Amino acid sequence: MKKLLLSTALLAAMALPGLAQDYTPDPDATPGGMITVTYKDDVATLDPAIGYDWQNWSMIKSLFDGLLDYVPGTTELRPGLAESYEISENGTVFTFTLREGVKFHNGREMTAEDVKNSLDRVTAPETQSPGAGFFASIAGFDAISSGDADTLSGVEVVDPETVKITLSRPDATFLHVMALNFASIVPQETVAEHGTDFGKHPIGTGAFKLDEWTIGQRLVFAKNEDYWRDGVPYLDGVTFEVGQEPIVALLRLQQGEVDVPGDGIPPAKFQEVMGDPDQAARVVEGGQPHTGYITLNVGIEPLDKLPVLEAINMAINKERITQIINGRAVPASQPLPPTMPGYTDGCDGFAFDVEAAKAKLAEAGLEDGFSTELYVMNTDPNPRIAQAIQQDLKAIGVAVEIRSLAQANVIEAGGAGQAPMIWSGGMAWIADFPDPSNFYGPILGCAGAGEGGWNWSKFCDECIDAMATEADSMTDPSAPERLEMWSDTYMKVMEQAPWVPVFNEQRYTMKSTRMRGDDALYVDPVSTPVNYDYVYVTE
Amino acid sequence: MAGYLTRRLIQSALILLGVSFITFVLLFVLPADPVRQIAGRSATAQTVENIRQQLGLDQPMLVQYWRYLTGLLQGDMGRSYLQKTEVSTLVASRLPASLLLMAGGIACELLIGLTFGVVAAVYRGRPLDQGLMVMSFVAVSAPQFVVGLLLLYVFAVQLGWFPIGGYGTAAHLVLPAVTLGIMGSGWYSRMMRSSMVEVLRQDYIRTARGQGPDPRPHPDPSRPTQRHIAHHRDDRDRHRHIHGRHRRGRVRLRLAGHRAVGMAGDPARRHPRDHGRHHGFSHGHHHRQPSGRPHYPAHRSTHQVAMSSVHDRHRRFKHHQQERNT
Repeated sequence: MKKLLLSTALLAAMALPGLAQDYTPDPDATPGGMITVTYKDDVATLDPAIGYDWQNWSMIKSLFDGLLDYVPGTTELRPGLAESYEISENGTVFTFTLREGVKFHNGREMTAEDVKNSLDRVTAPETQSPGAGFFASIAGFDAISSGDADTLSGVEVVDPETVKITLSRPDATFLHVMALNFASIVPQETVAEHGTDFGKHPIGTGAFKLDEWTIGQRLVFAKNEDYWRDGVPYLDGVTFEVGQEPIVALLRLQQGEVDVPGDGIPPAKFQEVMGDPDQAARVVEGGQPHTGYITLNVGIEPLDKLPVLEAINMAINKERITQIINGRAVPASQPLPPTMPGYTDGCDGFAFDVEAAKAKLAEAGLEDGFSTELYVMNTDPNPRIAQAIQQDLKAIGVAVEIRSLAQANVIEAGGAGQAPMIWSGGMAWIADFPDPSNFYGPILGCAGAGEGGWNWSKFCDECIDAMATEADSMTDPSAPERLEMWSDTYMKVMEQAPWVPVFNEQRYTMKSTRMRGDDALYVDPVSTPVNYDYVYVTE
Repeated sequence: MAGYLTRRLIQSALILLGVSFITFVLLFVLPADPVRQIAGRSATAQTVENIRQQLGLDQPMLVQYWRYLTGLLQGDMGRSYLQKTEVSTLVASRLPASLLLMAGGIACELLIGLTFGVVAAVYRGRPLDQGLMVMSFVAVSAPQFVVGLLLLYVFAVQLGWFPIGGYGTAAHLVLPAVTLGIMGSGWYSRMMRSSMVEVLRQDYIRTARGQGPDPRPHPDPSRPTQRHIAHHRDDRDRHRHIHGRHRRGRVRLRLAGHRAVGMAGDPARRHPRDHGRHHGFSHGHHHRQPSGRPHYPAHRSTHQVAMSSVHDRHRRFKHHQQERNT
């Protein structure tokens, strides 16, 4: 894969033939069998332009394809519906050559027109896509987004197998964006037929097709026999049963009725499951691109003083907070999670040191401490974590009042800049795509610091923003110098301490005894909880 | 009647209107912006504004409320922000399952509740009654998820009689319906028990029993009817009499060989538990069979009211029991 994404110069004006799928399928894999996955909540939509929760994310991935894709179980890009692509020298023109003979589930062949229509659709305001903003670097985005145009001027159909996409500025993340669900290719005629209900009648090119959907009960995916990737999927289908409490799902798994409990192991049962060697052997642990953090609003006194921010960072006992959630996380030292490219190895962050924290407070002239508020989402374990934070800060003389509210209300207070401190639990950032830039712009950059933005620290440093822009202007997302720049960017952010990075949650996927396939497929960084296209079962 | 109905209908329409208004206003009072929730965390300001405008959420509240009301009256409940589907579709898809569960739940509630209540009342004060009432107390207090999980664990996981989850067959309905039934039955059994005890204590019941009706059905038409005359007894004793049962400190009066007195022409007398349930038996009065009507040819032994010493009572009680057992 590294070969695929060499440096800009090499890529420039050079078609990349033979972008072989460098994923070696499991030689023992046998086709056949159905699996059952359970969820508590019903699936909202399977429209790739709309679906934006972790439950439908992997379902949509299995029903649809984009021009690019990821090697299963990794964060490395690989070709999808585009067989190859070329990037112009200045990094703003991407020419994609489409795979021939790819058919939608309705039997029609996919063409370049579909690519253009799909991108127009996701960016058009009528679609109300939560992912529209990801395409902002495509030329003509502003015009379509404001309603002045009804098509993206930057997307051009050269011939039925070739699409040329022109960017208004170089964007290193563009290839990742083309691998997002939002960039899935959909057939125009089916979209026109169902309109806003396309999400209930999804037609794509993916490994599975929707066979049955009984709202509130279950969805059945059936294998797409004409799938363009040879040999996959192995499974004949997947049944998703909804409306099942996690605890019931676990019982059913223990009885062999369920293969994967989609909501994971319920916290109350976690230690019991992990304490039983039989069951623990069927749990796959992996990292996920997630960081739990406390935002410190630098616009509210006395959090506008750097020593105060540092003192709070030093006062938090992260080890103890991870114990509160049964050790299902690792303490964090920086905004980026360790699974993310650009993570700075060897950075210890602020060490837990009560005395040093008190000294910092004294340096800011607040020997006697101060009082402030901590906003937190009101579902377990977040209020308990907030209490731990409250105790930690009490030790350095900071009196914290906990404001435990519904998720939407915390997000509102954070966006409006009213909250001095917010514990991110339940609303924490999980990367949309595995690129370091995704952890900056919306949550630490100036762009997100405005009214309603997700930068709840309201932290905005023009110099750091400039560094971020520069890093993203490179064409190759995984170029070492780019990752180096991102690493520096986050270190610079932490010098100003607008966050207390607390922990990186681990993922635990439990599976039935008959499920097979590489462990990495069960903690796939891109498809949660499981990469359905590549797992298989023994009967 | 028509006027009353019209009035009530108008009143309930007004109440519904009020409820819908308050609910609507609540959405505005809460500090959460639905547009931002639809738009998601990665939305640009432009996207947020576009969505706000398209949904008409930039309009004044009263305008929005009016649009909601007019839509609602035409059967248009709008689209769910969360589920991205017509609200009416969502409601309709869940309604059959909810109604089925409701019916099952009510059936179990009545079945369990009424049975327990009746049994407890009949065996009032005995261990069976106390056991049932403790059970109903626990049932009322236990949270639904505890009962549900307990039933799941025992009957689905351990015994494997029912599916653990899902929907579709009758077997899927049993555990949820029983769970709901157990929750609701606590109420019914307590209510049923106390009403029943109340009724059993009514003078007319006691009088009837005082007159000799056996709580058990005892059809024996071959025997000649002997009427038992209650007016020998003084009121106090009559009220305290416990029939067919020997309880410390409460036995004042023993009826020897009491048997149901036929109530001529009264169909209720055939009721197995309640032979004496008849309006003619009003409390505190002397009772006679209405003369001139044929006596119900039923029961065998002679009736005799015996005012006796405790010792005698015991003896007679034993004798009576023996007699009953024959």
